[in-house]
Amino acid sequence: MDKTQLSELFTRIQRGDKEAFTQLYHDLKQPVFTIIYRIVQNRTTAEDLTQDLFVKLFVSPTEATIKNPRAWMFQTAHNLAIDALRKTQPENIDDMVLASPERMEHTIAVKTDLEQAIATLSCAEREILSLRLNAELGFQDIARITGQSLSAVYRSYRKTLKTLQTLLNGGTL
Amino acid sequence: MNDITTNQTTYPTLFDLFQHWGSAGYPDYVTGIWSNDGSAYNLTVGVGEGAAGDAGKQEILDLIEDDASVTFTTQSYSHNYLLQVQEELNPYFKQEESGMIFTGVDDMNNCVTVGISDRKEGDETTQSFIADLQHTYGDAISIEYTGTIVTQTTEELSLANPLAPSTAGKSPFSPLMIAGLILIPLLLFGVYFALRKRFVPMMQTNDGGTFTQTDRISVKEVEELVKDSALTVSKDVDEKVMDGIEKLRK
Repeated sequence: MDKTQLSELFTRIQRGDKEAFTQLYHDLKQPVFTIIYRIVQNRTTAEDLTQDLFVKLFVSPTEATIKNPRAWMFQTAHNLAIDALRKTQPENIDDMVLASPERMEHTIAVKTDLEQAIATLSCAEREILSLRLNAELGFQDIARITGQSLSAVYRSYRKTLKTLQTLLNGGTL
Repeated sequence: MNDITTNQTTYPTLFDLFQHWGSAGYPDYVTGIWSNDGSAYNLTVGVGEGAAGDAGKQEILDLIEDDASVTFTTQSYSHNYLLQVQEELNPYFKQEESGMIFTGVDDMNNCVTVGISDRKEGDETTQSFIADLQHTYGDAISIEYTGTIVTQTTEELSLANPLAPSTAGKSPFSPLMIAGLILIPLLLFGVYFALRKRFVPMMQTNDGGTFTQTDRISVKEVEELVKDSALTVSKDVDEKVMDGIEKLRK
């Protein structure tokens, strides 16, 4: 779904159009849930937040003009997930800035276990990875959402892919 | 957005107006200006599509005294937008992973040309970077592979200067020896490659499965794996969301 189609859906949702909402929900629920889960790392919390986000979207329609509705959705998902993480696991907020090297010194015994490999990444790395590959956002939108510079996001993304590649190939960090 | 106020000043030719824009900034309806014959007096000016472009065209005609040699064409992207794209690409300039060695606004083709080192043509990371640029900017950018500046060696310089002493024909190795030196390592590498899987021992995983280190996963495959790894929302959540909406509607 492109920006124009998504903007149209947002406009219709603002008018209380349930069909438009259902379409938006089915198109975006999976990436939104994935982003939130990759941040909070808890399925129940991620499901609750996903539910909250979509219901709030319908109840309190967004401002009339959003340049990039897709990026807006993931920005909102990011904010909700970070707030939840701050309440439940404040110690992990630091992880948004820097991954602990100790946590990364870890061998993935079962090389096909992608989720296990992803779980060893820092929260920030997981988020950038998912915003790029699951939400299919450009690096500029990701930089805006995460509040990092464009080049920092790009470097982090490349480094994360290399890390996953090493882990999935049975290597250690 | 540049709203150029000219205070009714007129310019003898389009070139003079172009010079004024060069210092004051371009109006957003201008997409580009270029010479048709290399001179400054036979220029084509690109304007945006639709009503804004038409209004811009009229404004240009009102601003210049000699409009006989002006040609107009319509294009998609304003010159200001292309300058902005070029600026956004700056962080990647000369970064190893991007392979980007220059950028330039191409007025005639209405895009930003992104020069990528031809050494990076098969590079996975660079290809991924390019795919991302294309995803973000579409046809507002054009990729051009180009050679990098190579420092000439003394030997190469001597070829350019016939007066310098030449080493041609004075190799201490015969052609047969050179062919042998090239072919033998290639042959050995081929044999190693063919037998490689047998050399690498199989390893056992925690769940009893086995794998060998020859099954390398590329970065591209990692990207595909993560893409496919999107988590599924349970039906319970679907129902809760839809029920919530329904209640709110009532």
